[in-house]
Amino acid sequence: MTDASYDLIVVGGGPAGLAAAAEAASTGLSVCLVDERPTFGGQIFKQPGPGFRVTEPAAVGREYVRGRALIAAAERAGARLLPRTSAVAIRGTTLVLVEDGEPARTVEAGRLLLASGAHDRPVVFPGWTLPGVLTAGGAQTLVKTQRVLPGKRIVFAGSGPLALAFPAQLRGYGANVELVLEAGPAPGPRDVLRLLAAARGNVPLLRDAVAYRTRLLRDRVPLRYRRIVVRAEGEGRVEEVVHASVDTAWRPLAGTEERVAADTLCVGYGFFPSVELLRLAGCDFVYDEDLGGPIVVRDEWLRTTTPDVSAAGDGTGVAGSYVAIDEGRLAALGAALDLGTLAPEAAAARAAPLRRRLARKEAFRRALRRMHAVGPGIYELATPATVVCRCEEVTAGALDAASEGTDDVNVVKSLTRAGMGLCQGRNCQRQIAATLALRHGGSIASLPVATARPPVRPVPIGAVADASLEDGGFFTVEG
Amino acid sequence: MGGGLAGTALAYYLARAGVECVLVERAELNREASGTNAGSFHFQIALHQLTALETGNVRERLQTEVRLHAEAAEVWKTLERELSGSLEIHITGGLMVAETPDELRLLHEKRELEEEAGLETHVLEGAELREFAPYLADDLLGATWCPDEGHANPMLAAPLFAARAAEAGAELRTHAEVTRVEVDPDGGARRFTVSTGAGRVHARRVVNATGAWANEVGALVGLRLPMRAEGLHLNVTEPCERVLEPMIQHIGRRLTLKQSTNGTFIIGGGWPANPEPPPGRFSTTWESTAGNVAVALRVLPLLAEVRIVRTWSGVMAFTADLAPIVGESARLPGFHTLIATTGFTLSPLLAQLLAEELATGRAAIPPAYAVDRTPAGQPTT
Amino acid sequence: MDARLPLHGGLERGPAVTLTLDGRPVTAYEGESVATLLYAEGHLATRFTRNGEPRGVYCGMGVCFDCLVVVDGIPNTRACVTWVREGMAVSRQDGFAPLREDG
Repeated sequence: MTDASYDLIVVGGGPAGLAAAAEAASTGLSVCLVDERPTFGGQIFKQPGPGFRVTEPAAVGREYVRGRALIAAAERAGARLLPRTSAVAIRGTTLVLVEDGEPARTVEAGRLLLASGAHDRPVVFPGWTLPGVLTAGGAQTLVKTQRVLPGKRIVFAGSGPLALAFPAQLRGYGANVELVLEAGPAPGPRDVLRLLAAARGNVPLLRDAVAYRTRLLRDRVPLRYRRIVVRAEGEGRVEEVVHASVDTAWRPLAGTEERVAADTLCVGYGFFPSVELLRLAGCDFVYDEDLGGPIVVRDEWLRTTTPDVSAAGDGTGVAGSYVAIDEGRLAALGAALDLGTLAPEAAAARAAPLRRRLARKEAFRRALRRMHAVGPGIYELATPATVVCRCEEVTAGALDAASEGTDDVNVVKSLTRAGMGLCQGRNCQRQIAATLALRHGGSIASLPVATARPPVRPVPIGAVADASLEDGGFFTVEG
Repeated sequence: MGGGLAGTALAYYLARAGVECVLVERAELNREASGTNAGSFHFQIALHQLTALETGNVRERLQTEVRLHAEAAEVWKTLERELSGSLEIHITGGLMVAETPDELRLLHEKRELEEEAGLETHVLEGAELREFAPYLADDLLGATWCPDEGHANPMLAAPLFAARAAEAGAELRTHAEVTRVEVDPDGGARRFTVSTGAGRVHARRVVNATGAWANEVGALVGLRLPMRAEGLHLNVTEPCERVLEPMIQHIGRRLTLKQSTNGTFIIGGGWPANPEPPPGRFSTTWESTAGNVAVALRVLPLLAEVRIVRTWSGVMAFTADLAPIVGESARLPGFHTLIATTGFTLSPLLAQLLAEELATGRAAIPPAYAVDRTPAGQPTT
Repeated sequence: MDARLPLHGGLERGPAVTLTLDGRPVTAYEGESVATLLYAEGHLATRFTRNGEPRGVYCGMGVCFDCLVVVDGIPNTRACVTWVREGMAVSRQDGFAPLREDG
């Protein structure tokens, strides 16, 4: 029982999904692109809220313009764009879609491309649940697409290539950034050489990095390396941020704590790929902490190990918008090849420049990565009283107690209710795994993850209920 | 054999009766159905038990079953005291609703049967039902109310039985998968040799309490039980303000519905989950989600805007006549089976009865549950 | 300083809409999220948990389900991905908000 069918359904309307939809539709495939937000563009190219009026696109910003161009290209190529629509379940290449306020629909595809993007790594430290603590991505969304400032005295704590980008952008919009804490080291001469060596074909990336740094220097925003946030304090909201120097494993060094007054703490220690649909589809993963954890296994056309399911963009390991766009195109070409709208030679010819660019980006990313390897100390900041599961208010102490007799994450969840709330474990499941790994030895990477189950997003019963379905009739006496 | 609720409860009652006892479990205690079910007490006669009600022997069988349910209600009421620990037992009462005149008639017949067997139930209709359960859909025709029904925390029950069993002298071996069962007819106290992943155990008697896996273990000694394993689907919602105290079932459709103490609604009732290759067990399906919550919404309209957050699946041992299988095999004396079917509700009671039989040699289990019975509706072979 | 940034550079807020926040009439602009409205009104906490802890916008992109508010009677609604509308009733949430009876 299906409500519609397409050659290709792309889930996620960020750079990868938009580029894929345009590329695939241009080869003659019927393409549907869904995104749960009201506007396309994903996080990085997120468009202003629906209702804002753009009078002069160039002045709104480069990312707005790039996003607008991708959306226009997908529309022009004939892809069907469905906003406010969540993919909540998947079986084979059949998706259950729920548009806000509408009943669930079943949609079939010849091929699925999952481009679900990424979200900020939730870092658990005492005070991380206080109002005023928010993720870098959250702060960026507020400022860029809503033009509202989350606070008046902002401390930024993070690491990675985007660690300087966020506070620099915030400064650009007039925010008062008091202090920037980078967990990694200051780039040394060797890092600079490595980056320059990898710079061929990556000039925009380098240019951005230099611009961000310049902005912070010019505005005299203190930038301190090898320091991380250890806790946030305040009565009912953030009032002070405590930070400390760390060793190379990101473990705080005794006697180095300092305090700074702040009403806002932005936290940006990298991203987690959104892998819920990929897990539900049964894809194979490897683990790479620096890329965000579980990384889906793909072949040269970005096909996963599950038949007819491909994956592209930051949801496959965070690498940024330039990589995401090229990956989206490559995955679309793979789909066109498999579905017969492109001959092998044509697909290979169109893929060749993409592959070359992706290889160059990969070299650049490797050069950057040496400076920003995520330290295991990131998982060790909670005290027993720290809430780990925000939804069910389960503390680190309670998790540790539940982990005493078991190394099974499903059992710890059942005992504590951690990870069973509305966020479906997105905030806390890695910290639960880390708790188990710390207590029983072993690594997060080797722990089996909680079983993936639909729905991938909470969905109202009124939208799900289908009174036409009959039960399977288990309860009949045999014979 | 089997570290679920049945096995741990049996170990407890045996050890307490002074019987030397070893429990072997393939993985960890309470990992399967015993720990993953919804923890409800089902005492009222359910839809599946009412099929073919007009035939005389079904009536008799149901009487047996309800008497057992009434006894199980007593066991649960006193279990926390017996085990000196919390099982988070809440006796909330349970409602079983009817939508159609036929279903309502069935409720009345059911109540009569239950009364005869000693289980208290009442049929509520019209304004009385509206007043008693204002949250129910206005057009439901009636409901039976059973004050004894309720729920406990399935994560606590088997572990507490296990802890008390160990204190009473039972030996519990986990990560001890049974790979072989040898029988020496003249072995006496060493009649059975059970080989496990954690060593061998000699025993005068063995009990197969492996639930959905009972046929795999039975096969080690050439016994085949009239049962199969099925996956059951459950849905959990976001937590909401507490509005629903009793558990709700439906006399004509597959539904169990309750609001847990943390505010989430748990919706189940026997919708299927898909078998998957190991270790996948059973995966939940969208069809079961959509169909199951449609019945829930029909009964409890305030669920319309409540969001489903999770689905999960549990495994259940379905016997051919849907009744428990408990007792000694006539073909292989000394080899016992303990499959409770409505496992969470009945396992403590049936374990207690079987322990009594094993310890005293006196029959305690209703003959209707005998291992070698010809189940109702089963052709005789 | 107002939390709303002055706009220049090619972007204009949508038309003003009137809605209620905790029963009090407030003004917002089409295109704004409920989270933005709360920042503009000076509320960092969108809700109090069952244990009485204040919570606010954390992920800002619909993932964390912490910035919950009651919108037109529906509890557990994410402020960061809900857009203001003329006549909308927003309340900050305290523990479990009551379920809407008219379902």
